[in-house]
Amino acid sequence: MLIFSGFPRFIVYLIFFLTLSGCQAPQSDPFDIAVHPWIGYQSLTLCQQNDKFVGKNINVVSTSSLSESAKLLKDGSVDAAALTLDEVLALREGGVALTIVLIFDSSVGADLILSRKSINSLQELAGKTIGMENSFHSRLLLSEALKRAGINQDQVYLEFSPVNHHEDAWNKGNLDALVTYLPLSEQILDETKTLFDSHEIPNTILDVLAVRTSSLNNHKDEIRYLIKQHFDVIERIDTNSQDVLYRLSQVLQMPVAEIRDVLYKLNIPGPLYNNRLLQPDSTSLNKTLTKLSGIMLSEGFLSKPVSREGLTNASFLP
Amino acid sequence: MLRLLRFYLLSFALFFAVSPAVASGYIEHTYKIGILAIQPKSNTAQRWSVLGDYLQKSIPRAEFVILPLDDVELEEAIQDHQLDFVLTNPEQYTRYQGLYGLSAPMATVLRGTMNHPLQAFGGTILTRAEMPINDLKDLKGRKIAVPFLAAFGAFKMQQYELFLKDLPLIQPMQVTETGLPHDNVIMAVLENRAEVGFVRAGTLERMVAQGKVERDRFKVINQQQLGEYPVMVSTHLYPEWPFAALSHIDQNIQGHVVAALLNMDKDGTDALPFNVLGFIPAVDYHSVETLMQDLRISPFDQVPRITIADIWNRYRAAIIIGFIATLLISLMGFYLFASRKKILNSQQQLKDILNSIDANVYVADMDSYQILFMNQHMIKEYGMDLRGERCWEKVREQSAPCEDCNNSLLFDPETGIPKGSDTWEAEFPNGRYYLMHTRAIRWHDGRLVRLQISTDITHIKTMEEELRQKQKMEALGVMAGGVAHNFNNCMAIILGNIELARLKQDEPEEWNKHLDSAEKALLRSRDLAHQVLTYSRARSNERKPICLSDFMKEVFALIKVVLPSEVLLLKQIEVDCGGSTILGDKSKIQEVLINLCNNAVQAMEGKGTLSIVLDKVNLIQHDIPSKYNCEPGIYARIRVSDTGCGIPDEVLDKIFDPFFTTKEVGQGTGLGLSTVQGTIIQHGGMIKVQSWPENGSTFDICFPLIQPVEERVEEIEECAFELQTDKRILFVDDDRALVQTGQLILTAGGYQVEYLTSPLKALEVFKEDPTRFDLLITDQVMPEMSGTQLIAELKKIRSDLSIMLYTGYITKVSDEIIEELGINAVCVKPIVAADMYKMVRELTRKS
Repeated sequence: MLIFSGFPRFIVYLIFFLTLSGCQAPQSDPFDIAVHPWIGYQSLTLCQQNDKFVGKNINVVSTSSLSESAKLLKDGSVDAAALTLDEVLALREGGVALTIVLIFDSSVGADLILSRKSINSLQELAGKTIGMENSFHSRLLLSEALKRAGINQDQVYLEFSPVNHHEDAWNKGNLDALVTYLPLSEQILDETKTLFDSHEIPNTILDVLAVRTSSLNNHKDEIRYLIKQHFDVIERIDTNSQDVLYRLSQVLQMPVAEIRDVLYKLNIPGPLYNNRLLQPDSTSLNKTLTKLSGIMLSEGFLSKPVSREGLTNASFLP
Repeated sequence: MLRLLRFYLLSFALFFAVSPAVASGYIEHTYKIGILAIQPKSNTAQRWSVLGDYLQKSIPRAEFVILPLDDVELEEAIQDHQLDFVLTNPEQYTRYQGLYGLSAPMATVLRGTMNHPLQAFGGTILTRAEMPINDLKDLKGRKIAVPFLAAFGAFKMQQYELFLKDLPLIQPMQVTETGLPHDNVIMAVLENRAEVGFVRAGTLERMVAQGKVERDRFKVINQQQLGEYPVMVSTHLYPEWPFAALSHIDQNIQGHVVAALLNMDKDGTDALPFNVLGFIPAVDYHSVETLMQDLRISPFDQVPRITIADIWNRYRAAIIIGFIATLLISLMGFYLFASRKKILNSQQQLKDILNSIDANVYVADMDSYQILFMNQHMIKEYGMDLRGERCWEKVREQSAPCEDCNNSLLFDPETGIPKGSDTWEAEFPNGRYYLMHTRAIRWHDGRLVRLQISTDITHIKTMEEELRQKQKMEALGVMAGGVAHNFNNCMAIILGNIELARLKQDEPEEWNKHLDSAEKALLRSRDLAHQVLTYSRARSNERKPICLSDFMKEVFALIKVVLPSEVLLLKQIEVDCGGSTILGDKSKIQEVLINLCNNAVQAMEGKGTLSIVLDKVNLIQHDIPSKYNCEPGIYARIRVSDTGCGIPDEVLDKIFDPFFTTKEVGQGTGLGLSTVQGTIIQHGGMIKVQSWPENGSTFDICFPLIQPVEERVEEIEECAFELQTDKRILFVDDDRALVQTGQLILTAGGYQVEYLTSPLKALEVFKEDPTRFDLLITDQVMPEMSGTQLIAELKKIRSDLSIMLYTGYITKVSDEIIEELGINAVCVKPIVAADMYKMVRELTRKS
């Protein structure tokens, strides 16, 4: 006598399916993420140091600069990288399918325009020589500042150098102003005054975690885990800042006081704010993208306005 | 009592308290600041007095009294609101805040130096440099020195590191409390009173600076990478001591105190003790609370009251999923239970069926020959369960795997796919016959195993033998007429020639001629009797190579004597069949042919032509009916044809069925052709029939050929006739005429013969002088004692006596008895004198 026929068989299949779906085969390729020494990204380095990624199939690849991280992501050596938003747009323009899954921080004063003390206002920058890194977010900062001062970009002279050469460039005496970001040496801080900083353009200069779109499905668990660990570190900055500051001082080889000063100039969004920013209809992010892409279009780095489609994904947030 | 004790304690503390403002003027209020004393109270009071002075100076008309208290006193004072402000370690603060409602931290202590101000502190885990302790894991079971178990920076922080790494916590039995200061811990480790020490970070560096210990005598475990933090730390950092107010202090005075604390010079001019630089705005103490919650430190050691609603609200999704999972698992469990019951029932049914089969069923591994399964029938027959034993050892009673093991034939060696059933018969060591079906099957673990079903067919074999004998008797009955006819003819010839010889006594030539004719008729009669006896004799199932041409000649001779005179026998052996050999049982094949010939004679109603032809035929698969297990190839064919009435088409398919007969009731068993077919199948051959009603039938019997066996031709030793007068023979036969004739013939041959008609008398004579005779010649069938019984008795007396059994009925004595009794020769009566002399000479020469 067959007591059960159809329904129990369905249950068997269901449990079998659920069991199988819970028993994913171990992934042989780790989730590689490139990180360069910017303070906003160091939550990942601290996690790596505290063995949080052991056995989790996540590998932090330390790079020396933003451009190196971008290169590794472009050539497929890593699955993800901590980048600035403008780099993400440039890579997407270059054909690298990327999705932003986390916003590490937004600059609220960490990017700034310094000038010699004899210059008292932005308007006085007309006809002056300005040193800067040839990056989109530096251009964005300058563009916003000049716009507010009513000066066209062709009214200033630009001299490009990497950010780690800014001190030397400044010491040569040719520069009247400098578009740069923290931390800076005491000497420069003593000799300059701040004309403009990113605090005046909130939610514009963003550091993000960009993942190759092709890796999203293969590394869902790793991405979720990694983002959760980032937020745990962020929480510890609030609840036990001294411990985190000293650990960052070890990683970045910087004094605790300087780290604290830089952190004051960064807005580190938590899960809720991240979720708001990463939604496709986020007004704030759309505004930033419009500004940023406008500059990049005018500079010829973008051929068309940025599409929001597939650019952000909030589903990995806790 | 407790209250009284507290009063005394507080009085004692006030005794040490320093109140610099007492003499300075008008005081509106005196505020007591309780400070956790980690040094002797007098020292603590004296050192912290600078804080009281400072606050007194900063807040007019207020007096601040410093009260150094140990942790118990401090808690009691807070509980009784005997204090106004508290400065204690973060863990104690968190505890008091939770229990007694302290204010939020008003300020946090800043220690260190101006170059390295420290808002946080940690704990250090250290051991002697030579100890094999390098990691937190190595702390398991170690003897640990701590200042006291309640120490935050010198015990609880370290415990929490173990907790965070899922390592076993330090048990109280591992701990040695050294008391304050922390220096005691380091000395305990150095002096080998403990293997590991927990101290507040910085203690070791301070003692090294003071020259109390050498740095390289110690190593720090689990050292954290904390950049510019000036001392070695093994734990996370936690905020420095907080300064807080009790709940009864109004916010106004709190504000004055906070302002004063934050405005305190941090350049050391105020000279606070214990490297305290001053105070900073209060930091977050959440990390301390988390530690206490995780370690279940009071007040977080109480399990909160949890309602069902709490659980539902918190774990709603998990509960729903769990419920569904439980439901599914329960349904599955029920389904599995029911399925299991069905399977068990089904298993029992199969077991019952297997056990009720009247056959031995077993399964054995093909490589190890280990028996994996036996049915009850087999267990009963063998008297035990042989599972685990090897089949060749226990079933076939062999000392090695059976030579005829067919395991390799049961599956395709290339694909491993089972081939099908292999069926054969065999006689087992227990003397019983079995019909065996074997096949390879896939066992539950995937391997191929041998399944054998052995049916005991001994009783069928016995019945077959009896039936065959009955068939033989029937055939003999049919033969009897022909035999009698031929025998009578011979008798007539003998009688006639003896009478003629008597008449021609005076003409020796004619006399001899008539005697020769009589002798020939006699020999013909003897051969006739011999043929019939040979046919009627039951034989074993022994199969031997048979040279068909020779065999057919014997068959022709036999058939010829039984055929009615009106039946013409045509015999033909094809030229290429000269050496054709098959493997078989002569007597059974003879029976087959006799059966077919008898049927033919009956079909011809005693008149017609019977043709027997031996030839070879090449059989292709198409020629072989499916019921025969023959392979295509060259076969020997014996074709038996008659010119009888033939077989009607409607019964042609049934003639080989058992008990099918067209004869009248009582005239036939219906088993003749069925037996014929069975015999042929046993020989690996086949039989086909063609019939033409009213014109006759043809039966073709095909046997597989084997390689001819070279027969050893024994050279007949021709010896010159030689008289042996010294040889004495005892001749015993109950037929007096026969024994006298024999005595005369042997005496004529030169032997000394004593004849007796009684075997008992012969036994007596022999006993008198056992060495008197060289040879015993005896009949078998005698009234007092059989020939074999006589031989047995004589052999007891003299085992080397030569014996010749001289009998007219050879079937009465089996080959086994002949061998057992040591009978040297067996002669079938009658025998001509020359043959008798040859045999006797041979036997007496041996003796």
